Amino acid sequence: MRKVQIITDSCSDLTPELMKKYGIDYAQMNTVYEGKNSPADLAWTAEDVHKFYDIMRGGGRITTTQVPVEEFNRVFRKYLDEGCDIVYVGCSVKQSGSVNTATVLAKKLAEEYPGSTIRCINSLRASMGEGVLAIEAAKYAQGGGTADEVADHITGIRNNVRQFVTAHTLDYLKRAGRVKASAAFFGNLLGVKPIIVADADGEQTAFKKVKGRSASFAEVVSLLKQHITDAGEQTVYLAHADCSDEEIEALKELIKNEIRCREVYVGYIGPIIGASIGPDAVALFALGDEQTFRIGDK
Amino acid sequence: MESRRIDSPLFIKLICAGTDNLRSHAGEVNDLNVFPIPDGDTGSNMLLTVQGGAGITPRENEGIGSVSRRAADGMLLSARGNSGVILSQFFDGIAAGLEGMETADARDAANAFLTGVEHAYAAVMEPVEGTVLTVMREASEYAAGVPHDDVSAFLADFLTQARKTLSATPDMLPVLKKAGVVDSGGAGLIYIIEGAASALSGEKLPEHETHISSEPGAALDLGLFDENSELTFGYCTELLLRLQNAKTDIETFDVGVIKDFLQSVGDSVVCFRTGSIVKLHVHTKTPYKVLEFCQRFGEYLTVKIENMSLQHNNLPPESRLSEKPERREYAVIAVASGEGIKQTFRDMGADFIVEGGQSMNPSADDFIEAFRRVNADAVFVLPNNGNVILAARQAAKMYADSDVRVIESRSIGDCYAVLTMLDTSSGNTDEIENSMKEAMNGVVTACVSKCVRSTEMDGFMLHDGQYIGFVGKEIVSADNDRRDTACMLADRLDFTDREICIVVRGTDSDEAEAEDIASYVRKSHPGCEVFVIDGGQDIYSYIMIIE
Repeated sequence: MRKVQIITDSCSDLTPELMKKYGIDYAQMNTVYEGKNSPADLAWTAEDVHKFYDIMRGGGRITTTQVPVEEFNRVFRKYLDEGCDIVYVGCSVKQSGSVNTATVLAKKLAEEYPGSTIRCINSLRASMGEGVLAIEAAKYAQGGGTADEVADHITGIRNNVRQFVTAHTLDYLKRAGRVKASAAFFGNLLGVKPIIVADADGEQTAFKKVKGRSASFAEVVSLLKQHITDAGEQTVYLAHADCSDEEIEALKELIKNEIRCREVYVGYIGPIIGASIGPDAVALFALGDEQTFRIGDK
Repeated sequence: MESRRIDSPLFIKLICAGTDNLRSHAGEVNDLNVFPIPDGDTGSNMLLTVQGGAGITPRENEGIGSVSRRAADGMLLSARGNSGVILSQFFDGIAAGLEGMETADARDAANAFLTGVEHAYAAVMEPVEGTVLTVMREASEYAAGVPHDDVSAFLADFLTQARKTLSATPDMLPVLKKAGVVDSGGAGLIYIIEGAASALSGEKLPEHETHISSEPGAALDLGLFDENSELTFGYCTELLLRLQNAKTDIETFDVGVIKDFLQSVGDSVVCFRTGSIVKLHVHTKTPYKVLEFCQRFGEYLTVKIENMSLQHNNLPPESRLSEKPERREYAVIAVASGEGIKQTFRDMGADFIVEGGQSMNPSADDFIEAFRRVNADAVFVLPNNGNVILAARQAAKMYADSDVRVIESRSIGDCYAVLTMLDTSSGNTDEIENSMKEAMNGVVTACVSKCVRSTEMDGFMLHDGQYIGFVGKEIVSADNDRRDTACMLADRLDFTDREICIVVRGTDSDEAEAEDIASYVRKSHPGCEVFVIDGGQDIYSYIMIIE
């Protein structure tokens, strides 16, 4: 049987440690600041993180580009040459065109590598939500699943990856055009914190507002508690955009006390997602009941 | 001066003279504010109230009984604030006392004033002595106890005693004594009677300009509706109906019957009843149906029907555009003054701003106009002042076209908190109302203003020109420096579990100072997000909202 290689992208916010643990590789996107392209490396240090978000805090605008074809070409070929099949778990197509690019390329490569399977999956998620799905794929592959089985499996559980995010403001996401918000988010709501979920179509959706930072933390934890399944067996992934250590410690404690999960894994929100959501955002991810909410429905 | 009976034209002239005199002194009455900052509104409120009665034109052969009733009804409709409501009820009692009379002499006036006092007391749930109530009661009782040949002498005695009582009000109400002022409502009443009395005694009976009671005094451009015009807006139809014993049981008559009918033939329905009189307003293309239907229950006192195409085009262009938006599900109306605050509220989702606040209370009529303008199934009203809630509630009761919910917001901070959390997406009116109410929990609004009178209050020796910081009606800081007063005020506020502080700066502050205050608060409360808004409000240099 052919080995299955799981590949994700810079949106997954998986730390090098997690990628190593689950044998996952990733295709790099790019950030653009003052006309200069930089690869969105997920192996960044606390210092890099701090520098990056300070640019945004100071009003600097960082934009992003999707995974270039040559990058997919490099990563996919590397594993195809080793005789692997590939399952690419990409950022929600509502946020990035990378899955589309990968799908086009995969067709071409499949002809070049007869007998290989390349599946490109729209994770409907971003950040560690996409990362969690990649981890699930890796686990399933390790359990002996073929590329198609892995792909079908994770496609089936995409909407079980639950995401609860809060940020200081919705402005960054609005500016990046990467959030759907109801009329409730009309105007400049000083001090009001949005709660953002990925809806059933993979749309990032500000669906609720909460007053003040601590209330927003309590809200994301409470929402995750409501929706998480088998909490005791699970790792809750906590990604943040350069928050203070004290803030993250307090949030971690809150999660542990409220949810009683197996562990809380803390990582950074990477440069791609960070450029959209802005500094000081926090995001919680875990597997839970199925997301059925759609922003269009009412 | 020879004895003279008061007939209806003279009665209205006296009301007008009283109104004019109060107008010249309204500022002074406003300044009789227990709180030593220029946000008193008793004079303005009483003036706007009494004006509602001064606009009446006596009809031919109309007796004083009828005209005084119309004047009193007019006052009730335009009554603002507590003092205004009490004043309108005083005149309501006077009208009751004069009922059925052609003219009145001193004896009739005395009885009418005593009835006026009764009605005024009845209007207040818990009458407080040392207020306008005491002034009108002691003055009326004294003057009624002395026989007079003419009304002029009666009013003179009324005034003598009223002034005596007024000067004694500080001894009856500690809060007045502490502030070193007399009761403002009592002072307002005296100015009204004083104006009337001097007019009557001929000292300066003003040649009064005729008050026009039908509004579109501006020349109507009849060309706006020509032979080929289509009736798009219908007729603004206003009727005053007197219920008749021969036609219906007045006791048990339910005005809801008329309301329901009006809604079936038109919109912008306002319909309410006082005694046997029903006042109704509707925009309809078929006014004859309204006339026909309502005549089943009584006869018309007045009928006014106007083609709204003419009215419509008389409006300035911008109000014509905003005249009537399409019917929407929800609308939010907020009371505010200050350009920046109004704009902030609009940006946050308020659909309509009713101009007003502490120093200028909007009337029920103003709210009804706002309800009509927003044209929504459900309307949420944010009065943003304890003194405005009553008028909003009254208006809500009178307006049948929308489900009006008055959210009892008592400050700019309350309103801010409600609007930030506004979310109508649930589509459930009760739920939205509840969450609006919840959003006000724990909001604190504090203000900095300039003190205009030297006094001792809450342990502070205050002097004219100083700044004071206060929460509700309690002074917590005072200093000659505006910035320091604001910072000390912030120090006195309890920031436990507070994460948001909004500094709303007024017209007499400057941006740099506001930022300086904001960074002071940030420094002393590191967990708190502090924002500055240019509110452009008068009177309050700063309004601080913490939540």
